[in-house]
Amino acid sequence: MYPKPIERYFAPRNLEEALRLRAEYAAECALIAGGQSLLPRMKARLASHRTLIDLNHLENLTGIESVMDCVRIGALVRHRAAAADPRLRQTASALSDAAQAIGDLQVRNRGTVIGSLCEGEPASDIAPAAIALGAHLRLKHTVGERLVPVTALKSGVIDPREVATHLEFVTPTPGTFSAYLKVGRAAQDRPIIGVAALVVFDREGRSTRAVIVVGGVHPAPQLALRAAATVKDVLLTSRLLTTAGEAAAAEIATQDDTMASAQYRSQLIRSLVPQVLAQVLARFRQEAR
Amino acid sequence: MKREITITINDEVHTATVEHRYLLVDFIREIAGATGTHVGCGFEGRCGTCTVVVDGYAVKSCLMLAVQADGAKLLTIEGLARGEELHPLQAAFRDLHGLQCGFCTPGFLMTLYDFLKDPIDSEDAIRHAMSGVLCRCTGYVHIVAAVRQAIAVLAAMTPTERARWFPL
Amino acid sequence: MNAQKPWVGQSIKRKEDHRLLIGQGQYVADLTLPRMAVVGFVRSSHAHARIVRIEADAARALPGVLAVVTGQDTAHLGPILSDLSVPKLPGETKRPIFGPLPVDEVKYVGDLVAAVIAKDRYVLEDALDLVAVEYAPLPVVVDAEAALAAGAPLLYPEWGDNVVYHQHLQHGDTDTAFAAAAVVVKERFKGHRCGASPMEPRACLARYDAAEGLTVWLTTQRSHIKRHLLAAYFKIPDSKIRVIAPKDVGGGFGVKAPLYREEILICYLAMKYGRPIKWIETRQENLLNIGQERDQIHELELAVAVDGTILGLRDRMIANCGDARVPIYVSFAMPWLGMMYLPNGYVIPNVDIDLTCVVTNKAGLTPSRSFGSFTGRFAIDRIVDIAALRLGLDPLMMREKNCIKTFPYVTATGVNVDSGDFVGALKKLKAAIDYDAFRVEQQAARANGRYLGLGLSLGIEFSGLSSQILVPMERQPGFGVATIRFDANGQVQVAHGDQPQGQGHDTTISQVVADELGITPDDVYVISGDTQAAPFAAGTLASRMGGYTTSAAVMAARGLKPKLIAIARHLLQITADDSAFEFRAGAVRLVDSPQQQISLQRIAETALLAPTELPPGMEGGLDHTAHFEADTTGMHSCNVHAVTVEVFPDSGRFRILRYVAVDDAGRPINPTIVRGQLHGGIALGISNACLEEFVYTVDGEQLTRSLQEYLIASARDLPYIETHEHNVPTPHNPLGSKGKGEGPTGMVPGALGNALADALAPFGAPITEMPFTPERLWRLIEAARKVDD
Repeated sequence: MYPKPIERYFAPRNLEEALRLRAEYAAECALIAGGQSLLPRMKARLASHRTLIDLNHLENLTGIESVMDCVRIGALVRHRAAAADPRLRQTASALSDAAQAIGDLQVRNRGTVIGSLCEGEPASDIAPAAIALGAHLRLKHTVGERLVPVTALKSGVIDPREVATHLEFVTPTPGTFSAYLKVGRAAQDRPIIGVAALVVFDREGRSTRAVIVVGGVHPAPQLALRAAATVKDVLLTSRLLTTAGEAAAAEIATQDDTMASAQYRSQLIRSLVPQVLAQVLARFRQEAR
Repeated sequence: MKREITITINDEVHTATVEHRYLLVDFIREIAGATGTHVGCGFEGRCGTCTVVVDGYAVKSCLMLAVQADGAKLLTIEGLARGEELHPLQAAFRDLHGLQCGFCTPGFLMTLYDFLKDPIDSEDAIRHAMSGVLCRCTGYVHIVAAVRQAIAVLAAMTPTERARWFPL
Repeated sequence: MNAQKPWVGQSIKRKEDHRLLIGQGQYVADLTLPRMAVVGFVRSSHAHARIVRIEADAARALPGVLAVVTGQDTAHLGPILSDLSVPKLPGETKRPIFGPLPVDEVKYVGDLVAAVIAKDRYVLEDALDLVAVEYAPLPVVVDAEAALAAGAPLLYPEWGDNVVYHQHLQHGDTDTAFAAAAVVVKERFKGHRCGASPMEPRACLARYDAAEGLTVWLTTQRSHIKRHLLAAYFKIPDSKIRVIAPKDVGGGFGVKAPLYREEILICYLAMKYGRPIKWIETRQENLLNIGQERDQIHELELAVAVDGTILGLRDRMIANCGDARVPIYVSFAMPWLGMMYLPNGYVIPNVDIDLTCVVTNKAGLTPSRSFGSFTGRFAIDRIVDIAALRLGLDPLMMREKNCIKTFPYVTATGVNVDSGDFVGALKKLKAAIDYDAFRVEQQAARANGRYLGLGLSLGIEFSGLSSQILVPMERQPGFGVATIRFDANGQVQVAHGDQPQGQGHDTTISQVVADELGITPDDVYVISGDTQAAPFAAGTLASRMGGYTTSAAVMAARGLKPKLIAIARHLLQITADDSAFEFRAGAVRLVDSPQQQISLQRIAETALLAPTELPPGMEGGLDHTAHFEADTTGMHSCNVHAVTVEVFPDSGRFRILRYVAVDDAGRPINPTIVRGQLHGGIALGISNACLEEFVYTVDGEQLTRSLQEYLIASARDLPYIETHEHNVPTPHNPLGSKGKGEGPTGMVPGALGNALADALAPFGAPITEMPFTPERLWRLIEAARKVDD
């Protein structure tokens, strides 16, 4: 239950220093922000890093900002702050829901939104919500930076010389409503399924765009494209929501593991997708009043 | 491999040279000698009995390295009471039988300390706030009742009085 | 504080709490001694294998490592089990031969292989990683029925089979009963492997010096028994061992009752290496090795008359005992007691139960709250409902008809139920759960496509176990014991044998003694857990405090009263019968003229400091010890529970709407503490029934070795629990009080299982296995739907 010896520990005060250290130690080092996923792995000795770069003292990465037409969430924004932010709650509810759904109060105090994405765990709550919002991760290194869509994140995509500094997505247009729901075996458990849905409504209440993302059932989150198509360009009815659930269950690949079987996960897709869509619809109706 | 760090725990300053991998909970228990914070699980950080308040927020001290808390101010169970006067939360636990073996109690007190800064007075919200600490003895019913009493007692105070009970 | 109002029956605040609330608890992990080293264990990654070679050089060479110890080093210590530590029950028993460390063979994943001693726990873990073990795998068997089949791999080849214990218990005439039955219901019930792991894992600190001997601080429920067994094992006098369970032990629930190999080994290491050795179990070790129980199959048949009267019961019971290397219990004591309690609170005159306890390549079973009876209670409560359904009878009426009604009652298995009132409790339960209104609501809900259900359970809970049962079952006495001593300042010390792990024993005993002596609970202080200070007793088990130990405290106080009165009479220089005096407000005084009184403090000073002032011929001193053994083999409480649920068939998920318990505590000493025991016991039951499972693959790999996989219920996973009292004092002890704690847990699976079956009745989904996971329920519903199609 104790990590292997850690030779070097750095707590840089600014990003340049962090990037320089990252470039120097690259694959040998790990970045630690919240540490709520990394430390259990290190304590179980499933991961052992001889160098640790602690990002917690970096400035200018603790904010949720509007920059031009984008929302930018800094690398040190904790789940708690994301869940409580009124703008996210209003315009990007799925992300707000996901941040509130993770772990427990203590984990949410320390764990970061971006850290949760970088861990690349199949059972990430943040990933489906971020994908539904079309979010990108800003990755910086000593001589440049790039944006990577969250959909593309998997092991090996982030270069060991890069640091993820922001999660960014285009500010959702008025009429955009979203939600995220998860199911776990127990309250504190990782999700066996997490579904994020985002729908853009016109003034008449017709959906003009829909995105449904299913996570937790497979190594990577998946877009339920056919299901989304069933709820596009229509007025949403409960029968349609059920159809969307059926379509999603048919198109999304699921896996067996010790927590749940593939077959049961498919059933949960069938059952949960309509519930998430119903939540989105309820939010729209609430706002419309 | 080692580093000199300084951590303030319940207003007492502790300086020591520790290995980078040394856990914060061990610093609290061994170097500061504050054994009121407990360890009840292994690598997984799920039991919550190690929860303390770091710079105002409840965190699991087994999921932080001591070096990460260099310069930080901590509050642990030993720092809740003001002299002989128990924190309203401690008093509520005593009044309403919120503990049996006491092993998980530090985890609950420090997690709920955080929650009580801006509480929601509903059974659901309280159980939600408590879900990161596990108890095998009480079945949680009396703990929820204790939290509700603490909310009421704190709400009846003036802002100045209230602030005394949340130094961090 | 009103000195007139009895302390017994008042929910006074606990004396234990202040200390714990300010972080001043003293658990074993908090103790340090000079030159202390820490020990950890290399554990098997194979379910069954020969140990070919242990390479420890790299570990030994690590700076900070003091020693690596293997089975070769401890083989000379000899086998652990003796007549002192094996149950002596009717039936056929086999005895596993094993020492503190395996020499040749490991028998389950997590089994001990070697011990490493180091300066601190970080280096210790580095060293454990460096010990390389070469194994030669052996065939594995984890399923109990597979272990019984011909040709199964044998854990103990010298036995010729995998049966550690077998008993066939018959009473009455089941053949006739079954032939006469209108309906015979037969079902196969499976209880999964789960248990009562406390929040504080095991911990041990042992110190040895040649003059004093061994001092062992231990998270144990039974200091004296461990002391005696350790002394016998090491062939030293009991006087050379002192076992101390510290004031604070973080939960026991039976799991801290056995004598463990690790504890024996640590004592040996302290003696051999001449420095204090400390062990703090990690949660991973804990989940691999202990807290595993239940794991039973019941092929149960119930014979019922047309009017619902139960005529007889047959059960083929198979318990999966793991490797059974658990001293005192040998993992079969629990299933045995579960068998004895199978008829539970139902009148079943004819029984035929065949119990086979099987060894397999899993961790040995350790006692867990509801000791052996969790699965059996599930089975009997479920089969009663199934029989009711078959006959078209209401489940509540079925229980009203078949519950024990006249007391005392001896079950067909020989359990004596002294007192209780099921009929009254069921009436109270029916009102509390709004039974009739719920049925209406349930019908309406079904019409709207919603599935609500209600389930009941009924049970007897033992209030301690008498010597007649404990001596054969665990080689220990059942008596409660307390010694009362006055201090020279008039305060009262109570030393007793029932050390606490959170149950509030200090407060409870203080209340009882305060009433007897006319003082306040704060005038009393309580000692337990230290073999040097506490009287010899079996320790905390079987809900003994409220029935046995408090009774011993009462008897000890009453035993002292004649002397206290005699001294008071002498100091007052009057003549009067004992009956003319009363104990009130800290004094002994005349009932008819209270101003004629002598304070207990003065009496104590006289007896201890100025014995020349005592009545002529009277000995000095002021103490008395009493042993309490009830004049019956079994004091019991009679309890009933009800649960209502809503099930969502498209996902198998369900919500508990209400959980209601009607509970009998005889005469509750501290009603709030009793409620706390109910909440905690029921919470464990729900967590066991729904979330927890120790999972082994067919190759014996253990998949649930952290709290990420072994899911213990948090506050969000549990409902509010409602409790109502329906107390029937026992006539067999001075206060009429009954012990609490063990019982509530076993009431849960039947009530909850019945509620789920009731909710899913339109589908006819069978509820015969646990845990009640959503996926399992969904599959049962789907399977039932397919049958309909």
